[in-house]
Amino acid sequence: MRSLCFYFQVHQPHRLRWFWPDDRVGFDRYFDSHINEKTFRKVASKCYWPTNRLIMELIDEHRGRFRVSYSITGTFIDQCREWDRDLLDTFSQLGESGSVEFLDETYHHSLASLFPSKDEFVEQIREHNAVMRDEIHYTPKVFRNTELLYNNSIASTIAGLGYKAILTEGTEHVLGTRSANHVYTASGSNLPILFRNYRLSDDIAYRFSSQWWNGYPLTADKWAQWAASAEGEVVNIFMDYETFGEHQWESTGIFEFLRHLPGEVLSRGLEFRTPSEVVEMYSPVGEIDVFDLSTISWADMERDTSAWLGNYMQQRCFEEIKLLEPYVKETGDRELLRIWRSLQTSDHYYYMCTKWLADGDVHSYFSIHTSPFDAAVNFMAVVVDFKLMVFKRLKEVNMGLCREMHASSTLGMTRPCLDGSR
Amino acid sequence: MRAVCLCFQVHQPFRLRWFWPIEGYESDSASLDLYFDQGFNRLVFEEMSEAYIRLNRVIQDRGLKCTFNLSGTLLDQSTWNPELIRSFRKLRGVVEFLSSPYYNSLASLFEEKDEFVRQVRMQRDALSDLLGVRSTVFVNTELIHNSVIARLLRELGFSAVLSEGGFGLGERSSLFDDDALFTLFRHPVLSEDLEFRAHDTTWCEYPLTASKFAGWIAEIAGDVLTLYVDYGCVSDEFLGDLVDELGLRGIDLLTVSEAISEFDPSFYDGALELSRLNLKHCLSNHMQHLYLHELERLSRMGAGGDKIFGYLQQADIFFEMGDGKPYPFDYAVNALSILSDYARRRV
Repeated sequence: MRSLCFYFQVHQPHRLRWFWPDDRVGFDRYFDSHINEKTFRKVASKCYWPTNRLIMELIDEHRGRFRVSYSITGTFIDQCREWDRDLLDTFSQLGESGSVEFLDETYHHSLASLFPSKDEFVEQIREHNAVMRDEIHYTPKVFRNTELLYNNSIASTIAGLGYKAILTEGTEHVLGTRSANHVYTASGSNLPILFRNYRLSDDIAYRFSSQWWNGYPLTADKWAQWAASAEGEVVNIFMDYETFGEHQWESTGIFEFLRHLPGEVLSRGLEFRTPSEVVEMYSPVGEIDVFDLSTISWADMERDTSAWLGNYMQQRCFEEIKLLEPYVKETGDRELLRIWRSLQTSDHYYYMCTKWLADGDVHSYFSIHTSPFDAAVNFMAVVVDFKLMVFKRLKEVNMGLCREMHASSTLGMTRPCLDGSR
Repeated sequence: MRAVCLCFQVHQPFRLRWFWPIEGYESDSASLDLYFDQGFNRLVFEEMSEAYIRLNRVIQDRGLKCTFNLSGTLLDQSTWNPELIRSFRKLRGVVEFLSSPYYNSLASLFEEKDEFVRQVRMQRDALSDLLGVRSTVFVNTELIHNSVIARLLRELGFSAVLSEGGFGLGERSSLFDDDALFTLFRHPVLSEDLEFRAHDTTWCEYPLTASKFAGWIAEIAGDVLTLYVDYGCVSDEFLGDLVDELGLRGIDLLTVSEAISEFDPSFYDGALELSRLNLKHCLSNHMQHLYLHELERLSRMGAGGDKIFGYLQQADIFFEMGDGKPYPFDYAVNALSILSDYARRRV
């Protein structure tokens, strides 16, 4: 029996404001809650609400045979908690239906998997796992990394955490002539891998409304026929959830497409399965070896890290954030930690991308900045300010420690002062 | 025109390095080598100092009366070629030396003026130590001038200031008396002709000959015309020819102080908000304003005092973030990264 595995990425970042050092404090000093709320509410009404309702209807209609999976970022959940709790409840209801699987990722949709040490990456996964349990009442068992970033060390970290499988991009860089439509295992850790079938996924996510495309107009019937004629055991269709109603507007007919899709697929002898079910059903057919310097992702034509770390501005901004880790953690300040983690969100780096050809269009569509250069300078302005905050806080903490030690030394305990002050 | 004040800015900046944040964290302390491309700076300096020495020789041999603004960063770099200072010392008595902020900085724009005053004093002391001259005339970085600066300059004991003129002056003298502080206005068009357009092969007046240039000056009515240009932009041949051509037309060369004592000033009633190119090249975009704001914050934090903070204030860093530059954004990200490494150590 052949399977179709759908996974939707649900994400909203905390976008930065056009930064100027002023009197604001805390999270709002750096992040633009106004634009974030505006964007969230817009996408919620155009995409999240209507699509959740439709998926729920389809699940009811097909009595458990229509099955999908979601990965919901912590930053999205933050925004639901702030502006639309009811929306969050509809995701919980989808979970209760038994036809939906939720995946884990990093809470902050971050690039922490690219840090040399995986400790921060693991902490953010745990944070995400906790919020999924608290808010969606679900404990994910399968992992998908930010933008499907993947390499051997990410896979072994995920295997070490006990996940059953990992999702990534079915790029030829890695598969060569092999098909994406099978289960594979990761070299070294034997973690099962599901590869995205990017052609069939992008037919919906990117090309659906493209009139230049010879597949236009795409109908559920036509697409289901393509999926049914694909070789292999499982066709993995991974895409942004915002495809429905946001990237592809309602007027393109995307909701009609989705409404008819389950029926067309099921009538062709394909079954919907979630990632956990897929890895239980099918045995791996081969091993996948991706060195850390060849990290893959689902972004752009290159399918590598160049969308976030392709130019010097991005690399420098990322390095600034990466290197702040021990100092932020030493402050023990939860708010600074949250800001620092929110600065790891991949979107900030995506806005700074200067690859103008083909992909540049997509970058500018998602960005609130007028240019990638403005985005980079703005991010760096935040870094300069935030770094000062961290080191000021660190000094206060150390001075506090010194005072404590000084006090305890009068009780006969002697320990050196960290910064030599009295 | 009866006289020309030929003023030269002699300046070499400490250019920033291409810096990676990891290098900052791996260094126990901030240092010049960490933030500035000292190899390249030295290379440029060694080449330029030889050119300056050749020009100085022309000035000395012919006894030309000119005025110099030697930047503090140039004086610092002179340890790489002490001959340069000796060469300037030989010109004493004939030429005049101006004061300016030591680091060629925009510190005069900070709300608190203490950093500016500190740098002006530093420069004046350095001129006195290295050249044995006492400077009484001031020129600000990029000719920035306003009434607050004027008041400070009077308090610091300066008698005159060099600033930016404009088209509005018409045929009036470019020498003005502003409440006990004489102000000499630079002729912006002819100065920029000499400094930039003379090297532009697409300019309709190219090639600019000394005779053509002196002819233009002769046609302008007035007592004194002030040119203020980068010393590196003129060749020794051109300088010699220009003086000859001016002489043929009966135009004298004067130092700033001589011009002030020789001519009667007019009264200037325009707004006192002056600067070169209205600072469009160094203070117009977001990055430049942000960088200035961060410098000011550091100064307020009491971070200043050392050479590094001085060099981080160089106007040259602002120029590179300018809209017409090749990589203003990469440059700004790099500069901000350096500034933040310096700043975190000063918390």
